[in-house]
This record gives sequence, C-alpha cells and structure tokens, in this order.
Amino acid sequence: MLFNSVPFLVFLPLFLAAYFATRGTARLAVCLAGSYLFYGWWDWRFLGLIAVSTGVDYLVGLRIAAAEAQRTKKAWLTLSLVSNLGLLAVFKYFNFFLDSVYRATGFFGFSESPAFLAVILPVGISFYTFQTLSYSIDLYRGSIEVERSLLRFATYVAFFPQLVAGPIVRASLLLPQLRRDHPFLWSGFLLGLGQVLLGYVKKVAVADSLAPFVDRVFDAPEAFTPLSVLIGVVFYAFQIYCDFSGYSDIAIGLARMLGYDFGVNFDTPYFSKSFSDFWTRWHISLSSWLRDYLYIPLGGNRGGTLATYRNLMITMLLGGLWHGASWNFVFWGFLHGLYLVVQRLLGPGYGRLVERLRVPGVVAGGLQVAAVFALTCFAWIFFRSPTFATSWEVIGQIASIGRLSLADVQLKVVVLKGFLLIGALVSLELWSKTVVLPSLVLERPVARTLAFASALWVIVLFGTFDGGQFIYFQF
Amino acid sequence: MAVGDLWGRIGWGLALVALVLAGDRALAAGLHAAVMQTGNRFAVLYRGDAPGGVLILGNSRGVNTFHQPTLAELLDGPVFNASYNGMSTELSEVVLYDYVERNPDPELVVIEVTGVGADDDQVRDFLPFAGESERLRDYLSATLPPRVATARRLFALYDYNGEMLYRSLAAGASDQGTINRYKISPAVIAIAEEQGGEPMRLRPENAAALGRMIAFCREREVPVRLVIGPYLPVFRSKMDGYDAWVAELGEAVGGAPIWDYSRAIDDVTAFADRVHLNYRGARLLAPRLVKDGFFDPDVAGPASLAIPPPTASASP
Repeated sequence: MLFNSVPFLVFLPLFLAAYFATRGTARLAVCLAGSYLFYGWWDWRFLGLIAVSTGVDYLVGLRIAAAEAQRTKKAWLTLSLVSNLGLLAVFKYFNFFLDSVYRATGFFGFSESPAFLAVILPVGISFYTFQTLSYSIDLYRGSIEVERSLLRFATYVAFFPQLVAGPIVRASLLLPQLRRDHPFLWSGFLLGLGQVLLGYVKKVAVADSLAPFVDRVFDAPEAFTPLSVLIGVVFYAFQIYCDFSGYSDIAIGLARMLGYDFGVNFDTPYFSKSFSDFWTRWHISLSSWLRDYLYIPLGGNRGGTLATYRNLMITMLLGGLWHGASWNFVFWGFLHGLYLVVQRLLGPGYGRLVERLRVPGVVAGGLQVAAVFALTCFAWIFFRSPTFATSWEVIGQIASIGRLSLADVQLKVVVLKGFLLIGALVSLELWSKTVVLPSLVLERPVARTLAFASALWVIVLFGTFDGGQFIYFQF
Repeated sequence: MAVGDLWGRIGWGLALVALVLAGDRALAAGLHAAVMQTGNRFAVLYRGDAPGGVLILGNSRGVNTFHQPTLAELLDGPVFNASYNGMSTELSEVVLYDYVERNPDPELVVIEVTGVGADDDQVRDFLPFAGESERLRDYLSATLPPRVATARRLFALYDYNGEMLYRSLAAGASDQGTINRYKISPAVIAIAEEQGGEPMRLRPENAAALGRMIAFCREREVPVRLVIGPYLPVFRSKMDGYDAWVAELGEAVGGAPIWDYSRAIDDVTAFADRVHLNYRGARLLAPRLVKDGFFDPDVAGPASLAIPPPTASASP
C-alpha cells in the first residue's frame, strides 16, 4: 500500500480508530494485523518472507539470551547473519552476482548463459533485514534485552509506518516503546500530522513534479541540450531528497501520531559543508547503522590513516551495494568513499588557506556547501543512470556546456515549475533553521491552522497524482 | 479527556476544513484573475483582445512552425497563434468557435493539421479557462476522467494544477513569440537516421472536427488553409504511408487542399527535434509561405501539392 494512494487514505483512519480503541496485547495485535495488511497489499506472498525473517530472529534472540558461552552466542548470531544476509543475497543480489560472473567469464571466452532466478525483489527487504540484524547484533553485544513476546517482536519488524522504506528503526529504540501503551496525545497527534503533511508536500508536490523531466533526461540524454541535462541532474538531486525524506517524514509523523518516536532521518543534508557532515544528515538511520555495525567493527579510525581510508571505502562501497544490485550503485558508494578520503586529506589544508586569506566565514562556508552539493550531484548521475553508458553520456553532455542561456533550456514551463518548487523548499528549510517548528505548531493555533491549510493548498495546486512510487521502495 | 477539550478539538478541525475550502476558492479566484490578465494566448483570446487577421491553430507544430512576430512583420498585419502543445483538432475546434464569439472575425484561418492524430492528453491544461466558456466546459467535462471532475468539485485550485498556470506566469506581455530556440543535436539526427519512421495517425473524431471547422469558416466566408509544417528531412523520408495519410485526410475533409510543407526545409540546424522547427527554421519558412501566396486569401490552393524534397542535408 502506498502512502500516496486511496487505499491507504481509507486504511489509515480505520487503523487509527482500532489502535486507540485497544490496549496492551490487543493493540499489538491491531498493529501487526494492520502492518501485514499494509505490506501484503503489494503481494501477499511477501508476507511469508517477512514471517520467516521474524521467526528466525525471534528464536535466535531467545537462544542468544539463553546461551552462557560466548561461542554459543556467536554461533546463534552467525545463524541470524547468514539467514538475513542470505535472504538479501537470494532475492536481491543473486542474479546480479551471477550476471557479473557471466560477464567476467565471457571476457575470457566462456559463453555458457547462467540460469537466473525468476524472483521479484520483495518491497522493503533491505530495510527490515537491517532492522532484524540490528536486534541480533545488539542482543549479542548485550546492549538490549531479549524480546520474549513473539507478537511484540513481529510488530517491531513489520510496523507499517517504517516497514518498506525506513527509517531503519533499531530494536533499542522501538522495542521499549512497544512495551508500553501510548495514550492518545493531542500534542503528539498534531505534531505528527504536521510532519505527515510536510512529507506529502515533499513527495507529491516536489518530487513527483520533478520526476517527469528527470525521467526524460535520463532516458535519452542525447535528445536534450547540455544545459537541460545539467538541470535534469540538479532536479534529480532534489527529487530523490524530497521523495525519500518525504517518505521518512510521513513515516515518522504517523508514528508520532500513534505515540512513537522514530528519531530523525534527514536534517537539511544539502546544506552540509563536508561529506562527513552530509552523512550525518542524509538517511541518518542507514548511515549510523553502517557506522555502528560495519565501520566501527572494521576498526573505524583506530588503526591509522590507511586503515581508516580502507574502512571508509569498504563501508561506502557496501552502502552503495545496499541500495541496489548494480555496479552503478557500487560506483556511487565508491565516489562517496573517495570524497570522504579526499576530504580527510585536503580538509586541514583548506582550513589553513581560508585562515591565511582571511576569507569571511560565510563565503568559505558557502563555497563548501556549493562544492559538496556539486559533487553529490555528480555522484547522483551514477545512482540514477540505468547504465554506465548513460552516466558517461550525461557527463559528456554537461561537459559540453558552452553557454548558460535560457534559449538552451528545453521544456521551459516544467523547468520553471521545478525551480519554483525547489526555491520554496530551500527557503522553507532555511527558515526552519531559525524557528522551532514544533512550538509553532503546538503553541500558536492560528499559525498551525494556516500551516496545515497551506500544505493542503500546495498539494492540490502543485501535486502530481499519478500514484508515483517512492524511489526507495526498490532498495 | 475533558468534554470541553474534545469540543475544542472538533471545533478546530471544522475550522481547518472551512479555512481549507474557503481559502481554496479565494486562491483560485485570485489565480483566475491573475491568469486572465497575462499575455497568455488563451487569456488574450478569452478576454476578447485578439486582433483578428490571420488565426493559426494547431499543436506544438503549429507553435513552432509559425512564429507570430515574424509573420506579423512580413504580412504587416495582425496574426494570432492559438496553437498549443499536444492540442487535438477537437480542442482546436472549441478554441476556434470561442475565438470568433469574442474577437473580430479572422481574415484567414490556418490549421496545422497534424493535430488530427492527437489524443486528449493536454486538455486538462485548459481548466483555468473553463469558467470563460460553456463550450469549453462541456468539452472538458466530456473528455476528462471522472476523478478529475471529483477533484474539481472538491478543490477549485485543482484547475490551476497544470502547465497553463506557468505558461501564464512566464508569458509577460505576450507569449506569441514563444518558440523553440535550441537546435537539434547530432545524436538525435543520428537516431532518426537509424530508426524507422513512425506511422501517421488520424483519429476519426479529429477528422470530423476538422471538417466542421472548414464548414464553419466557409459559412462565415473566412478562407481556411490546411497545412503540414516541415519535418526533419531524414525523419520525413522514412515516414511510410505518409502520402496515403495525406490522401485519407484530404478525403475526410471533402477534398480541401492541403499545403504540404513537410519537406520544405532541408537545413537540419533549422530544427529543434525531428518534428519541430526552431526559431531559425520558422524564420526560414515564413518568407517562403508569403512567396507561395499562402496568406493570400485570393490564392485558391497550393501550386503543387507535392513540394519537392530537399537536394541534400546540411550538417548541424
């Protein structure tokens, strides 16, 4: 079920009514049933997979908690890792690896076509496997308590607001909240509703308005002028941001309406002054997951300069691969790994140069934001392109820009609307840095009413209502 | 929860709904007034400010084949281009009738006929003008899917959720000079060389509408020119069934002459893509049209229906 679909708009009020009418175990049952209905709406067969993942990690959790010897705990953790990563390997990466091996061997003259698996990628599998993995690992580390209620654990894994596209809510954050009843709180409901509306504005009005232009540019870059291709890339940067952060806002807002805190998943990432800054503001739940369960276990920055670079690169390469079974995603991860390494190499020198030249802080900061944004856009080219050939074509087109003239802009009306929406979004994000939005919503009824009404007007006036999928569903 | 709190919250919810609906109507009224004051061609048309003279109707090929400022200068008289991207002939028919109801009768009506293949994809863009014409309103109601009608009943702002709003905002004093300014890329030419041509379409509803438009103009003694604008030569040369399509169209409109300029421009830099001229192309074509007597009401038809193909393609 899509958040931006009619079935969901029917489902939500019914779910809310059932949720607040129940308590304790009955409420958990409502949450689980609602979540399975939400997830099974795509394809009921997906439910089998999530049930298996839930069952395995539930049992592993009990075994880890019961085991006294560290070796035994480790064996059970290994089972969890193998089963979760195995699911991902089969459903997400098997055909990709097979195809890569086929191409590599084809290079040496072997031409036997492999037998690809005829499987579809279950929606959200990357998100819920990372959630269940975090449970097993945290339990093994002793940082959380075991969950003995299968109902509660299953609800934690499948809780519908964040199930299919995050945020990746760790067991340490959500399980304790599922252990107590949350009464209906008007303030929480209003804050959540506000965030849900903001999410819909980002998704339906901004991301889906930018999507058609971006799709056309990346489908046939050769049909566009160089300047139009550059605009397409910039539009994609905002499309993916609004699409994904919009989904996160809706998920976090829904959870807040129900009384849960999912944390923050995006924090104005395009205002980042460095790539380390960017990765603490973009898809925070994934980047912190990779940091805590991959980068730090690899040694983090404790083994010297070269080891730190290696660990950064491994983390970003695997982070890229997490996004999809394609070398384009791996290369996107490589670029971000490279950015982080180069930043560590050049960052101190840049700081000294700014100091020596007495460049005003605002100017230096602005240059950093612009540089990070430009390089992020460059990496997005590989992320969005269906093939490397398309990526190079896009880059070649942009490199051939000879002049910046309105005459060279195609589909001007669409571009005008896109920049209008991006301008409004950037202004809103800059403004949100100067005001405390929650207090604005809670303490000023007139401002709140106007803000909510404005969000609805924006959706009606600028929204695209063709049921556009959320980009991150494919991951 | 106290009963007072509950009523307070219900009251707030109702106030929010009332504000949303009232604001929606007020904003829509404001946008309508704003759009109608712009130089958008249809705002001009529905205001009754169009100048008479030559009226041009068609789809995006009508927009990019006939550059109004160039033609007005060459003809030293009023020209009004009421073409719109993706416009079907059925919609052109509505626009023609609305035009003559509100503006001086045109001296010549030019119809770029490739809109006969168009579906009704772009009709939603005309919602901002639905309040101006019962005819347009009826056409939109009959054409748009039911969910659009429902959305419109709920929200008046929905009428402005389309390209027309931005076209109006960008129109300035007049959008009559709007035309593609870029030139076709070598890659697109190469693709056109490799690929086969696309079949020409003729929707019976559009053909019928074209027939009615011709009859309407004849009744008012307004001469009509049916015309096919230029295509990229390599693309045009691969259009299988083109001659049959022209013949079928001619038959559908009772043998009215069709001025075929599909091969009239052989300079590829005069094109924005395979099917559209750019500014340079429109400027190249305009004197040719004048010379051929295309805009002269006394000239009955084209000297020859078959305009000779270009001798060679120039490189971009």
